[in-house]
Amino acid sequence: MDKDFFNNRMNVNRRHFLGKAAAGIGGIALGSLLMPDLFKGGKGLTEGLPVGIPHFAPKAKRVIYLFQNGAPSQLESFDYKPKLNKMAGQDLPESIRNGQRLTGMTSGQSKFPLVGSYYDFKQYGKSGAWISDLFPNIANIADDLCIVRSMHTEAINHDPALTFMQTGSQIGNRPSMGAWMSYGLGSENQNLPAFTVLLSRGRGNGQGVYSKLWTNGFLDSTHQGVLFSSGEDPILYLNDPDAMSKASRRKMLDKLAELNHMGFDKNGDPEVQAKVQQYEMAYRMQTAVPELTDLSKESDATIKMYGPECLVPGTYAANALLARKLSESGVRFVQLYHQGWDQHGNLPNEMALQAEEVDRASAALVTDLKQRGMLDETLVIWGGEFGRTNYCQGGFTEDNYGRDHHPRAYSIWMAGGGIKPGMVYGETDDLGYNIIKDPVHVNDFHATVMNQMGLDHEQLTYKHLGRRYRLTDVAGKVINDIIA
Amino acid sequence: MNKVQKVGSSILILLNVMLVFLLIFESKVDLPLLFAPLGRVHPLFLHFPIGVFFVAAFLHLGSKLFKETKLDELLQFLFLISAFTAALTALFGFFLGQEAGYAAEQLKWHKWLGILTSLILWVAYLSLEKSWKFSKPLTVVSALVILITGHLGGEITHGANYVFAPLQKETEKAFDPKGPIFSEAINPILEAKCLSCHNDKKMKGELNMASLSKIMKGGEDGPLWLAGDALNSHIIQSAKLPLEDKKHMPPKGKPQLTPLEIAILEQWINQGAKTDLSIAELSEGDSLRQMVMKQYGGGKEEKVYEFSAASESTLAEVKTPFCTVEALALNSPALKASFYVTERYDPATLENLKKVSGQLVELNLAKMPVSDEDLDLISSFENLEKLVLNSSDVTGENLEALSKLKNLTSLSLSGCVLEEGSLDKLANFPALEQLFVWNTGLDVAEVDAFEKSNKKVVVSRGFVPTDEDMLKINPPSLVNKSPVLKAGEKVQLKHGLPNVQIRYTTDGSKIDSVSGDIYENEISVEGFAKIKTVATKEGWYVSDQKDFTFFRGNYKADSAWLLAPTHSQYPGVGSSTVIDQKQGDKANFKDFAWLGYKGSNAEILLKINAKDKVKGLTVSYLKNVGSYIMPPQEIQVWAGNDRNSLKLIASKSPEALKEQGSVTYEGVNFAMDKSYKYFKIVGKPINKLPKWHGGAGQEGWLFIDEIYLY
Repeated sequence: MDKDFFNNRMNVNRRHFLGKAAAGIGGIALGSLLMPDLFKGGKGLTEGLPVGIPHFAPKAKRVIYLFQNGAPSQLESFDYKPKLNKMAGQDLPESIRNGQRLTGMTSGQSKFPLVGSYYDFKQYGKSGAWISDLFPNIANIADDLCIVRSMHTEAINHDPALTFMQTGSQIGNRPSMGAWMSYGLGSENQNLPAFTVLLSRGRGNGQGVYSKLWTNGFLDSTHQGVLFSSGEDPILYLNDPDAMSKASRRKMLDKLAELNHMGFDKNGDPEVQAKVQQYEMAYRMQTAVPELTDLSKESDATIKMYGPECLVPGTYAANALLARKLSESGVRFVQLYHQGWDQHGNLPNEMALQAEEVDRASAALVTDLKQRGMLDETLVIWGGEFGRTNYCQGGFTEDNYGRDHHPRAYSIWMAGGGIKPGMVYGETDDLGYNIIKDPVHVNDFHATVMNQMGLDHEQLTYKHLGRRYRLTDVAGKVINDIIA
Repeated sequence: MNKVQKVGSSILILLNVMLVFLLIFESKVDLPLLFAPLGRVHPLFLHFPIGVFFVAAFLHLGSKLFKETKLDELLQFLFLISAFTAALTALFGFFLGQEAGYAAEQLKWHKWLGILTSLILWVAYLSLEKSWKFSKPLTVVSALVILITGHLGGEITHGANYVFAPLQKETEKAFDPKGPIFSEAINPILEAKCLSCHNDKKMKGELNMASLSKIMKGGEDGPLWLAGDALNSHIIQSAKLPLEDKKHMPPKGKPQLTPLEIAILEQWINQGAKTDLSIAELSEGDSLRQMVMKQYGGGKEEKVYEFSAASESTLAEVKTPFCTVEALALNSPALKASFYVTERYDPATLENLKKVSGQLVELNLAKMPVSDEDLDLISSFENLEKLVLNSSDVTGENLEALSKLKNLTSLSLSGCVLEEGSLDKLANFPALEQLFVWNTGLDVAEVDAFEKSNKKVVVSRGFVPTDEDMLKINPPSLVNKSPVLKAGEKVQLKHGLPNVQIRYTTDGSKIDSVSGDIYENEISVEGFAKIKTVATKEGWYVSDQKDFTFFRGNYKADSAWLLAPTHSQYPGVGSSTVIDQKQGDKANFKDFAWLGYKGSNAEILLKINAKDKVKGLTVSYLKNVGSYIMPPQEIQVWAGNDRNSLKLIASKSPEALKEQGSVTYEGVNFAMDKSYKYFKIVGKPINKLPKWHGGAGQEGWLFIDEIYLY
């Protein structure tokens, strides 16, 4: 009997080897009962604040990240460089390039002819932001946007750059931004996952996305991004099979819970109770998810705003609309990826196709959030993983050219979530190659996003393999100048 | 007595070892709630060791004054009690120290000395028991340690310098953003972190930081900063050296500059190290201003709520899986509540929120069937600041009930169907700043009038489509999951928007917004059918045309033979390929579901089950012009009841292609006038690709799959 009791205690506390010995060892054992994390990794409890609650009153409660996968050219979108048009065809001066490494795709080029934007730019809004003709709808909401033209990253190829942008590390398997938010803030709506992922593919040259971008890394697997598939059933295997009624499903779950509780009484393993909770959440999701995919209650005005493509599952517009609905339903972090922005060649044509697909729906999302009073508390981010070169890759003609990868400067925009609206931040040189004012490193971007969500990026840590990790690792500062 | 000592002594060992252990692994301690009350009795319990020990110490030191024969035994007992209670006190103190709210610096020395006290009293007890000669000096040292420890503990509870505070005058000064930046923001940092070693009395490195003029003289390494050049300023350089570096300042072990403090100094130096500039002069977005505000409070501008927090148990009572109630932020008493999942809305949950009516500042009821009467209940949440009623059942009739909410700054009514005159009821809302009325059906004039008479309210009307927003509607989509219909299955179309008309043709004729049939419920097809569709809706341009192809058979052939071989690359799965009731993937012609032919004819023999009354058959083939897979030049059907003497009964030649087109399923239907036992299908691939094709003149491929019987 004593032995049974002892084993049970051990199960509960997972302390299998302590506590049997004389006074000295006994002291250690007693002490160790006070510290569950002594022999394994775990939350950085000493300096970290409790998880599940923002550290300070947040400006944003949720994030929608419209990731433009493949890296859209900043020079045809938000970073206007007329000088490039004047100097078109001239070689990029070495004094500007200044030893910047190149990808294998252009390192063999004997010349780096500068090339200006094929598309014209105009100024929009009170901020007078320059935006290219490719994005007329985004231009119309210029006063809601904070355009950051001085992003820079460390990676020069898609995979590491994407991984860096998403997880704060170029090497995979660190938790994604969304996973950190889920870990730090928990779920607002207990009937849906806190971190969801939506994919769409454009008509331009594309690059892959893969589940490591929305991984929970070393965090608990409940923080992993949940990929919604584009079909009628966004979450597979959620619905009851044909001929199973709601009532019999309920009955089955009740009986199962009863059995599980009996198991728990016997072995005391908390995982059993966690499992019961998960069954219950899945049961609730059976009603919560169909509500999300049902577009019949959306007004005509909404459909017109996003464009009719939004009725076709799997398109960018449909995902943007779904993102609004997810956000409205309390999902902390909605991550979209739109593929097809890798214009090494045929840029003027491909970019027009890509822009056509995202322009209307991106602007519509911001407007939609705004008219529902949600923009204040929802941070929308639009951008890629790096920029594109100011010189041409491959053949250069009047109306056709390509651009290679460029980590030194690129543009993104943010809206809502307590970010200053109607603002342009940062500046690049006349040739759009180097940042000359207010650089924003990827770590700084992460720190700022976390700050808006009410999290101190230096405080939210997780201990793993003997050290504490942060999304921003050992760097990053909040860009206060863009905070409203 | 001996037994007590023996047991007490071993418990003492245990306690002390545990104490030292806890101290070493302190960073990993996660205290169970159970121990918290023990921690709280620390301030009470600590009086025992002090009292008992001082009595014991007097007895011990003055033992000559007493003649009691049993004094030794009594002393040992008292020392044991004091060592024992000291160990417990230290342990409890340790527990108390785990609670939040104690300054780590202040706590550190008290903690170390507390544990030292426990250890030293233990040794004092041992020294007495073993009659060591240093017993008396040790008693004196112990008394001193107790005094110092106790004093430090007192300072934690009562505040630093508590004892002598009455003799000193108050010097604390509040941060004033209008004062000169050096004295308000910069010098306080230097005073706190540098002055103790660089002052009038102690000038380490010949540097005196007692006043600005003395700082400007610099030390042995030159001036402390170079205005406008933080990178080369001595103070920044030494602050940023690794902690282990000898030149790192402040030295290891001293209170360090925080990253924010370094950033402030750096930014200030970079902006010219102006001493008289005031924070208020800087623009609001200025980095230096924001950092200074963060350092000296007010930076986050967090709203302070006067009311007290709801208890944990009350919070647990109001939460449900479909109603989240949580604090706005850490340590904030204010709560926000959000309802989710329309189908699971329960009015009792809203009613239940009365329990936190004083704490609730945000309430989100979007999409919930909240009625006008419920507003009376909501108006009892006295501190509500933000209320979201988007797409609820509120009609506006009872909106004035909400005017009781003196702090309501934001009200969202988007998507509610509001009756005329609703906005008049909002005229007397005292704090309203934001109003959202998108898609409420309100008259533009009414919104205009409200805006005019309520200048401080920002009204958000949202997106209103105009005639310029005429868009092309998207085409219909298919309900059927597969292009191969089961026996009896009909074609079903759908569209995601309400009130959409779908038009279609099945005979290949032209389709537009006025021609073709109007889709009702379903469309019957047989054999191979190509349905052309468009969608139309009032206020939208007609959709692009969308074509769907279907195969439907009613019977399965008994068996099949390939009389002529396929091309060796595309053998399918042999003769059963054409009667397996599966259609090959059109996106993947390499799939083993296609029979490929080039240069020679396909010849396929089918045997029909006697009971089946076959009215016709369909030969399915693939069109993938880019991969040289073309429609056949001709398809012949031979029929008869003896497989060795079949007659040609029909032949069809699909129209030659004029352009590439997309990859599609195609088929040719043959109607039968009577029943036969055997059919032979002969398919002839085209022998020359057309002139417009990239491979003009080469042989084309023919890809055949299922032969359907209907």
